[in-house]
Amino acid sequence: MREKLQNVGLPLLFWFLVWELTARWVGKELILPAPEAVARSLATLAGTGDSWRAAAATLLRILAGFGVGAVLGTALGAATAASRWCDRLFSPALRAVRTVPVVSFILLLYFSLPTARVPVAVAALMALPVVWRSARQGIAAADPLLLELAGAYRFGRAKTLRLVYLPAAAPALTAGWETALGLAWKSGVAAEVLCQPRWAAGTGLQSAKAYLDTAGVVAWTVVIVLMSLAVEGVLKWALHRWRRGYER
Amino acid sequence: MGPPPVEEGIRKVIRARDITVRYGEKLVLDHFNLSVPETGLTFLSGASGRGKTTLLRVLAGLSTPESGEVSLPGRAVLLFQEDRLFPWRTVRQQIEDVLPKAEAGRAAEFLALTELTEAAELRPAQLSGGMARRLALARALALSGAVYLLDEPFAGVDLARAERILARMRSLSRPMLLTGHVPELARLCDRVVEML
Repeated sequence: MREKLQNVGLPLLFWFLVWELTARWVGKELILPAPEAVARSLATLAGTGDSWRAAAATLLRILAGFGVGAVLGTALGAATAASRWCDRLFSPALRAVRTVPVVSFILLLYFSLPTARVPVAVAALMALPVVWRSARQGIAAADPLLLELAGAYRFGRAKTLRLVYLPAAAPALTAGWETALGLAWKSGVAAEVLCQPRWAAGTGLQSAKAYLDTAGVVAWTVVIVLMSLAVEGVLKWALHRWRRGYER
Repeated sequence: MGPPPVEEGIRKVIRARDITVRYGEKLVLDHFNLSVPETGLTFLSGASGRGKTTLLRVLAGLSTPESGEVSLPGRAVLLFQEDRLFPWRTVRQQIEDVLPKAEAGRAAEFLALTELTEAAELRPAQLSGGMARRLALARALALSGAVYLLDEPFAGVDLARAERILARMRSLSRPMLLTGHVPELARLCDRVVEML
C-alpha cells in the first residue's frame, strides 16, 4: 500500500499541483483550464445521458475496428508466412497501408462510408498492418526442429498450429495487438473528430472546441483516456493469461 | 505396400540398398546396405561421424540420399538425436500429445516404461538431461509405427536404468533399430550392426 502510494499517488499529486499552479499563473480558462473547471465539466458529462451514449458508441466503434484489424491482420500474417503467393499479393499492399497518413484514410473514406462507419474502418486499417507484421514475424520464429518433428510425427495442421506456431508467435502477437489497440483508439477518435457522427466522443471534443470550451475538451479527453486504459487493461489481462500457458 | 521381403528365412522389415549421402564435399554414407529383421532389437554401432544419424534420417524419409533405395513395411517412427520437447508442456502432456485422444490414458504406460511416473507433472526445464532423453524416448514409443528408429535413446541415461528400460522395450515386441556407443547395451540387443 505504501509502495503504491509512493509509485502512483505521489507523482499524481505532484503533477496535479503543477497543473493547478500553472493554470492559476496563466489565468485564462481558454488556454489552460484549472482542475476544478475540468472536474465540473466531467460532472456535467456524467450527468448527461447523451454523453454516456456518445462514449459507449465510441467504445463500440473502436472495439469493432480493432477486432476487424486484429482478426484480419493475424489471418493475413499466417497466410503471408505460409504461402509465397499470398506474400507476393498482400505484403506490398499492407506495407503501403502502414505508410499512408491516417488523415488521408479519413478523408478518402468520408466520401464513401456513413460517418459513423468511418472511425471503425480507420481503426481497422491502422490496426491491420501492425498486427499483420507481428503475426508474420511470430510465425516465422517457429522452431524448425519442432516443425520437423510435427511433420514426422504426423501432427496435422490444427495440432501443429496449437503446439508449434501459436506458442512461437505469442510474444510478437501480444505486442502487436497491444500496439494496434492504442493506434485504433488514436485514429478512431481522430476520425470521429473529423467526420462527426451523431453519437461520438470525438464529436463531443469537436463541439467543445467550437464553443471555446477548453475544460470540455480536456474532460472529453479524460473520458477517452479512461475508456482506452480500461480496454487496454482487459486486453493485457487476457493476453497475459493466454501467454502464461506457454511459459517454460 | 507389399509384405516385407524374405531373405534366408527371415522377413526383413527394413531394407536399405546402396545408400550414398554426401554433405557438400564430405561423403557421409558410401553405398551403404542394411537389412533389419522384423523382430527384436538391432543395435547400430560406430564411432561419431560414421553416419548413423544420417542413415536413420534417410530411413525415416527425412533426408533424400544421393543414390540408393529404402523399403519399409509401413510407418517408421524416428527418435530424433535432439530431444525436441515442447518447453511449455508437462511430461505427461508431451506423451498425450502424440496419442490418439481416446488413448490419452495410456500415457501412464509409457511414463512407467521410461521411469518418469514421478516426473509426470514437471516441465522440460525442470528435468535433467537423462530425464529429458527418456521423455523423448517415451514419446516416440507412444506413437504407433511399423518400425522404430531410435537415435541415441540412452544418451545421458545411467547404465543400470538404460538396461531396465531396454528390457521393457524388448517386451513391446516391436522392431527397433537403436544407435549408441555403450557396448553393454549393444550386448542386450539381438544383433549388432557395425558402421565402419
